[in-house]
Amino acid sequence: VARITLNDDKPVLAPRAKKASPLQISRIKRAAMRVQEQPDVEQALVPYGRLEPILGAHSGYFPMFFDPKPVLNELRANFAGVRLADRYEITKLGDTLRIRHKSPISVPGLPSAEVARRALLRRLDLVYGIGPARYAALREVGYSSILDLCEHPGFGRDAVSAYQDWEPFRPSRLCDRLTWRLRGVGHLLSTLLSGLVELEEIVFLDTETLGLDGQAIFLCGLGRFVDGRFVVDQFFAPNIGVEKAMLEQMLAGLAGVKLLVTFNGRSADITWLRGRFFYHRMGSFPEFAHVDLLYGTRRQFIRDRPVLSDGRLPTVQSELLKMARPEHDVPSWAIPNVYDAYTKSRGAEEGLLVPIIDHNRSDIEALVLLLEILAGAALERCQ
Amino acid sequence: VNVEGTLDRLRSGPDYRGQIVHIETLSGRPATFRDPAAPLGEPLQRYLDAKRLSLYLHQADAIDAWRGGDDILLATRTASGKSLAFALCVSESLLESRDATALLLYPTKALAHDQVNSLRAFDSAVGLGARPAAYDGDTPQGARSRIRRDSRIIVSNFYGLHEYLPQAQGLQRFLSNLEVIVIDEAHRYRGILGAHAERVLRRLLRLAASLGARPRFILASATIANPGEHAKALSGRDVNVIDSDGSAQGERTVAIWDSMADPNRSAARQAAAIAANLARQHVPTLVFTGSRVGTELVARWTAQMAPDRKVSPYRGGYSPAERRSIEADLRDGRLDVVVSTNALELGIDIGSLDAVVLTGYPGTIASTWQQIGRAGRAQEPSLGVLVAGDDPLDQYLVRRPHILFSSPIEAAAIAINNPEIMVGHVLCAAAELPVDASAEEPTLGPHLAEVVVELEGDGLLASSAAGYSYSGTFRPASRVRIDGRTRETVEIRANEELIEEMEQPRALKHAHEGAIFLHRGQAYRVLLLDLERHLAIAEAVEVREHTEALVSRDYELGDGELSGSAGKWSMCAGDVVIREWITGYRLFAGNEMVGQRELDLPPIELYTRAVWLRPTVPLGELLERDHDPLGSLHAAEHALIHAMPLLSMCDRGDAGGISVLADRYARIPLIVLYDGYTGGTGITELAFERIDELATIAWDMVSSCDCESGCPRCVYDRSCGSGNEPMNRLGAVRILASLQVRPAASVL
Repeated sequence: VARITLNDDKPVLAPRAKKASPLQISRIKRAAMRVQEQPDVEQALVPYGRLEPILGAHSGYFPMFFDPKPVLNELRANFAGVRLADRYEITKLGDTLRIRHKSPISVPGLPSAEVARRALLRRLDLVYGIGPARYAALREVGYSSILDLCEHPGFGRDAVSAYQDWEPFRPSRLCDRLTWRLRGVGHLLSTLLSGLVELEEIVFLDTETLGLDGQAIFLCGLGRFVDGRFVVDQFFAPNIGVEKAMLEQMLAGLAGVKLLVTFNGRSADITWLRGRFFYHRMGSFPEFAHVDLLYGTRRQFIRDRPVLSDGRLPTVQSELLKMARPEHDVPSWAIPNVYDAYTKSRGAEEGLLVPIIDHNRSDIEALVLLLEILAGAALERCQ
Repeated sequence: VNVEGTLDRLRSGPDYRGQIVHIETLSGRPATFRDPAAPLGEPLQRYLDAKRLSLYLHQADAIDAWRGGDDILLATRTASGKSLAFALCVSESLLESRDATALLLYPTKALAHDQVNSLRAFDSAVGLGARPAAYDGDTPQGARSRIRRDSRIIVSNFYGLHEYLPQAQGLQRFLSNLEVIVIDEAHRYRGILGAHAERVLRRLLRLAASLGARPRFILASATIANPGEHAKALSGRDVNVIDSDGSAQGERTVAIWDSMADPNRSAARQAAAIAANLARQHVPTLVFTGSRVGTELVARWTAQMAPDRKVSPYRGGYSPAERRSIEADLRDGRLDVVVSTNALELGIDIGSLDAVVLTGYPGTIASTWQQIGRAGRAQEPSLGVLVAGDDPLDQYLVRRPHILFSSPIEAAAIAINNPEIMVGHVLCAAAELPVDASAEEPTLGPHLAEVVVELEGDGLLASSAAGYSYSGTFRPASRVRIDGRTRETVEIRANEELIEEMEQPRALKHAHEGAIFLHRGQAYRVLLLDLERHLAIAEAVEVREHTEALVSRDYELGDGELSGSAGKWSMCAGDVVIREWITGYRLFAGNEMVGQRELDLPPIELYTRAVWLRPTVPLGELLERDHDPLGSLHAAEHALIHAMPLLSMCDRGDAGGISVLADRYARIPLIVLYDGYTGGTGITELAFERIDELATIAWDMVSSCDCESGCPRCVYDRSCGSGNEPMNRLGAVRILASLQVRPAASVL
């Protein structure tokens, strides 16, 4: 029987070379290549041979399978040699850019503060413990506002607590109460907050990113009314290395803001901003009152009235707002690829950015029009 | 159970051909108890009192070491109460600070969920208020934010962790208070998986450090040769190894069953016959097989041979409810035989059985003991039967069963410094926190400066004052498969079931059309290999045939980063490129070649790691006149490859070899042992460090056989590219002796 003898005089390990050898460099290159070519896990998990039927049924929702090359070719044909400075009002802020648009969008007809306040106070179901049945019963016996309810023996305490969202006015708390208590309808009603703050305190926000999973943000558009004119400021990072500086500029642009309006910002823009603020250790993204128009749109124009064929913003723009999309629009799914092509050209192909800039601005303008429509609808629901 | 009588009845079966070649009886021992140096906190002691539990020696040792501020590793046997030791250490830390959190990582979701249930019970009994929760792919979206907000104990796995780290802002509270990381079954994280796990842990520690946390580790591992070293490779910390197993153990008898003694029935058939025999004797039995198909087949055969007994298969792919009900039937004695994949190897509670049958050597000694350890209730005697199959490693254990019973020789290796693995994790790390290329090389891997420059050139990283940020468009974690699967992976399926996944180079060799390969005692014939769809379709077959691919090879050696000596040989380790062309294959029935076919397949290019050996004296000085030099080198190379799994816990066939009389560089003899995975899994570095032991085992494998010039029990290899020709066993004995510092021949 063999005994396994351990060798006492182990071979000496040669110290590892400081610089990578050519073979090591080639391994690094091959590994970098592999990462880029490797299919995503999700894609790899789709059983082979079953991809096409899946794509056929849901092709609109699986943009990652689309080839961006034709889109890039078309954009290159249309925007080759275009200089941003010739088209837009651009200010250099350190290494980042601010692109300013004076938009033709006019002041929306939003409810006045008094109307919005009275409408929301009528929603007794904002008080903890009041569901649809009790809501109706209380209305029946003469409680018509949360103020009335403050004297109610059972609900008085919770009504007072609810009323404290107004007195003093705390928009973000009221916004949370609306969406927590009333879900879909609450989101729709949250548009009435726009009447409770000054028009100048509302910011319409939309970001452009390198992907949907918390990748870097390279463009942040803020739309705001200044002296009755709608101004869109886009903060732009010409490369991802200056993302943090761009976000800091954007944050400065949010000074004095009380209400954010987005489309799908709850799942997307605001979540991403929180993620990027965390990534850059910039402190927490401020807790604004946030009206996400996606849910109100779904409730009003898909669930309750079948007006829209789906809840995506381009559909809202064409079917509800009857907006003309910018010429040579870039589909949302291709935006990361277009920005990627721009950075790889080391700034030479800045014309590629034109459709992204216009796309972002158009989306922000749509938010103003959509807010006006939804706030009107919300008012009706409080009668 | 009366083990003697049981074995007698196995021997007196009608089909018995003298297969039992070795019986080892390991005496039992009573438990050793001890209290921790300072008493446990009041709620914990109350919990133990209520359960009438006293602490085993190793549990008390663990608590003392943990209190002393150590990172610890528990290396004690299956069912020795490791979970309780974790729970006590974690609770002490969590009771001390009301914000402290703990992360527990388990190799499978089933095991993790099992643990969450017992942790919840523990949590409420102790009043910890830690809300233990599983956080993995099965966690509903709605529950996730609550867990991130409230839970202080999160149970997950490396696959999940790898995905969650790049979007960790939701885990900020949890990570910034992280005080404990528990890794169970640490020895499973070896090779490619181990290298990825190690990278994921580095990322976790880096992120936690940026939030001001420095968690400590509690690891648990099976008994291996290098528990502390492996734990350090994985965690980056020097750990306090606790192996003072104080748990009680019943007398245990292990029989080695040589299935080759009966050439007419496969190892799997014989395992079924043993199980049926034990069932007829009313001995509750668990049979382990290597695949789901094997599980179904062995269960069916067992049921046919013992028709009045209750037999059930158990494997992954069953619904949780089905599995729970089989587990309960097993616990409550309503089943006589359960046939399982290694799904039951891990600590899922199935009570205890009297006998365990292993269909084929499971591949590692650690696994063998974990499987055998499923038998034995309380202090009752139990029986384990290892049915050895017909490859050289199984057959070596038939000749040298002591390897299984002496102190552990196999070590877990991790592929450190593998750029193929490192690069993807650098991207993930850059998506988690900007990377400082000059300061973070110790954390993120060697040649980091070159790596980030390459990635920046590809547009995947962007540099700023804070460091390099991820600037790609895809989700970086989605491109890094921590199980090592790549787009070049081929899935081998039989009846829709995934039998095995191989990297394309290996698939071309072992899973070409017409190939017959063995997977734990079960033979499969490949019907079709579709490289475009990364798929091979195979069928389970009952034949004693096998195929051997014909390969021509070319190799390119890098500059050896490591160099040393091995007996009368010089030795290097480093990068290599192996190019292979599969030209055809031969079909064998037993040892007789019955056919040969040509194949038209693309060439294989493998960038990997290797150890290479050159003699420092003329080969003629090492060999007798009648030893064919190339045959001797070739046989020695095979033996070294066959011995590799015993030292490095790699799978059979993970290593390949080349031997030539005159290499293309120095025109002298050369033996190359290379890693079959792109980039390497760490086994060649381990072979380099332990060459003396490797040569000793290989020498013993070859010299202990009694054949003439080589046979399937010693030096033949089914994946040999040249049809096991030429082959000279006696010459190989000389060469393997000359690779040792003190040749074992003189030691014995």
